[in-house]
Amino acid sequence: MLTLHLFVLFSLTETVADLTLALKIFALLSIISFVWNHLGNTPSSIVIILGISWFVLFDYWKFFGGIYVLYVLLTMGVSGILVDFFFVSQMGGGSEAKPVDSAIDLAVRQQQLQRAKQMHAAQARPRRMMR
Amino acid sequence: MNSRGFLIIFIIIAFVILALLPPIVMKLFPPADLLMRIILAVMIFATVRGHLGSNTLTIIISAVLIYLLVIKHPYITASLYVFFYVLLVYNFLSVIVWGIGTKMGRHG
Repeated sequence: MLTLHLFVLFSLTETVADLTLALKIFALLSIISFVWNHLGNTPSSIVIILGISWFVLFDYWKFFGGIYVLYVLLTMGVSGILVDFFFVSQMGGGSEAKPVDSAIDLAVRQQQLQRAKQMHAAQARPRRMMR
Repeated sequence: MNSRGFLIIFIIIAFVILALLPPIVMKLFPPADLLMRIILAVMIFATVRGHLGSNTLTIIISAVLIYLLVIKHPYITASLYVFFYVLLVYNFLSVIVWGIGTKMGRHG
């Protein structure tokens, strides 16, 4: 049982490490293409690529890794999904009053209003009598 | 739990099912597995070539990525590829969110 747990743990750790390496390679590709697009393939661009790569991929990877994942997801349009998600999730709550959609609905609402008025009047009468 | 909570859970369950479909199909049908691996390899090579152009570095980086993503972890890569590159980029996930939301909003 312990061997199985250790196997699963090591397998999971290895998978996470492999996926992190793949993500770092994709981030490196983004850095290279960004610098080449702006400066061209020159010796100075290679120096800048090495500097940015060291800073992003090794020094502050925990920070820039999350930012890179967010950047990729936003490029793919995940914000549209979030907008849809929050827009649709408002529909289930029913916190706002619905508009009148039929004559039956209107009649029911008028009856409820009338009943509420009658109850209010019945509650107000004893108060007047007490005065 | 109110109907809004159920709605969010239903949408998350639908997303999980969609993400699990490619590995299940790949496991059940070996030709689909082969086809998906070829698609993934071509997609990785095209992405790297788009960033670096056609040179030796492209082949080396493509080989490393193909080994890591297509040969070592094909099911995770296929799931991520279908979920993000196909369903998300072509806005199919919006259709699912909208469909579940309207159904649950009406009956919930």
